[in-house]
Amino acid sequence: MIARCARCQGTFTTDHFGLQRCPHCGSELLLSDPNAPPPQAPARGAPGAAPRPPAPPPPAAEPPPAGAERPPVASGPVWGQPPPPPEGGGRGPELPPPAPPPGAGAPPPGGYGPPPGWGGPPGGGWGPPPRPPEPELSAPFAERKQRGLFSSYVETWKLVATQPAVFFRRVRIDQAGSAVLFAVISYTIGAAMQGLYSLLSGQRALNLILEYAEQMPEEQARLLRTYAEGLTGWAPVGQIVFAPLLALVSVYVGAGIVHLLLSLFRGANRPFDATVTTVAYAFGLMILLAVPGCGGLIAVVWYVVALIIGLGESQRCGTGKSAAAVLAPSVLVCFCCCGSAGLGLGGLLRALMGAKHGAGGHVEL
Amino acid sequence: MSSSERSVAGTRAPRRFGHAEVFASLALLSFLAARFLPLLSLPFTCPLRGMTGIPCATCGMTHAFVHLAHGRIADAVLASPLGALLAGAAWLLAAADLARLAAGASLPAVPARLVRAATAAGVVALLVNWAYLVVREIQS
Repeated sequence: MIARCARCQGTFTTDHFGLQRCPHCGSELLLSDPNAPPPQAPARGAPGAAPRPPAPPPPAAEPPPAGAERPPVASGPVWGQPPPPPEGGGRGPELPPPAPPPGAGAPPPGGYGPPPGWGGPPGGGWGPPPRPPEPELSAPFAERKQRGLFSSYVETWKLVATQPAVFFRRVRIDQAGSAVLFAVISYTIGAAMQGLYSLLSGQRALNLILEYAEQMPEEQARLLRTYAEGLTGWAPVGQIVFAPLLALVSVYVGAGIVHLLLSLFRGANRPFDATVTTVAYAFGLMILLAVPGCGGLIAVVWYVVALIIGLGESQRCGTGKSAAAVLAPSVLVCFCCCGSAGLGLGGLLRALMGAKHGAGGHVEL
Repeated sequence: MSSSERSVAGTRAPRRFGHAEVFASLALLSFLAARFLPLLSLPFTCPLRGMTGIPCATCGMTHAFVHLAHGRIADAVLASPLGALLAGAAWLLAAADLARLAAGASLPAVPARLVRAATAAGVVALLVNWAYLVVREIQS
């Protein structure tokens, strides 16, 4: 069975209950048997009552080293409902969570929501008291082995989409692998559905666009034809096949650029793991690409909003710096793409006007 | 014995495939794609350049990557100086990370001040590169 030390949070294997010595920090700890009957206090001085060694007080938990994925031994609060214990009890009992810090009111409740009661504000002082640090939680998707892949995915997606501030403030940043997997799955599903729509409707859309292109200036018409031909043939197939790789590249390149810009704005208060975790979980919103029609626009806007809010919380830098870091490259891309799209829209409108005049007051679609 | 059980026995293995290795893999992948795939034959036109005739800030980078992967350094620099610099830096990073892994060394710590200076230099380089591309386009 696996046990966790309350002092150093390190886990180790053991085959018996009772007094243990942590192999990591050397402190003694008491591992109680959950199947044992509740202890009855023996009479004072009763014969045969062996002196029980006092259990050491559990000290405050220390954060794990950055970059190391801890084994998924659940302890402390969790998002929403805790995962069900594995069948057969293979993991064995676990130590109780560390005691709350002195001065704390109630222990932190499970799940997200308002912070726990930490007692009344101290008297005097300027402004509100500083917020106590909240314990970090594994994202539900990082516990997919216990919760199930589908339910953990849905729960994580709901948290990212509807409560990004709460989620990214408390999510653990040392499980970036799960976050990247979440992004890859989401984008692959969204891109696959989008590619499927293109395959099904590509020829009709191509004919329509080519019809419009005849009314446009030659340079713009040539560009429009090039893009329209991408709607059919092998392009959607390539979009589907290379979607996982594209998701991985997008997450890492995007996180790298955003982290560098955050450093430039002095907003990178936590390591790169925090940025890549935030970018990857927010990228999960790209599953909205599966929505026909406006899905792409909704996905991009929602992703940018969730990323700005999430980076402000996960990097503890506020939304101002995170917005600057996220929007700086977006402004550049927007200048390139939206500007040309606007020019293309102008050409399209001119083509529509031409079609209107040519059709005797009726637009032929 | 599963990996999680092994890690709890006090012999936690160092993470062998971290973020640096992901970046190195992507850089290596970009070299392979630029070297062996017919990227310049793809029917892609920069939207801004196609509509207005003005190149965007990243125009010419694919050409720079492909030329450099084939050893044509001058062509790469002509296509996009920043693209050639970026390609060279990315592939050097991949080689350095492979050497670091082989030597079993840890990642060097980079001071935050150096990161900020490098980022600011990168932004300036992007703008200068864009100005060069626009001027070259106008002159031609």
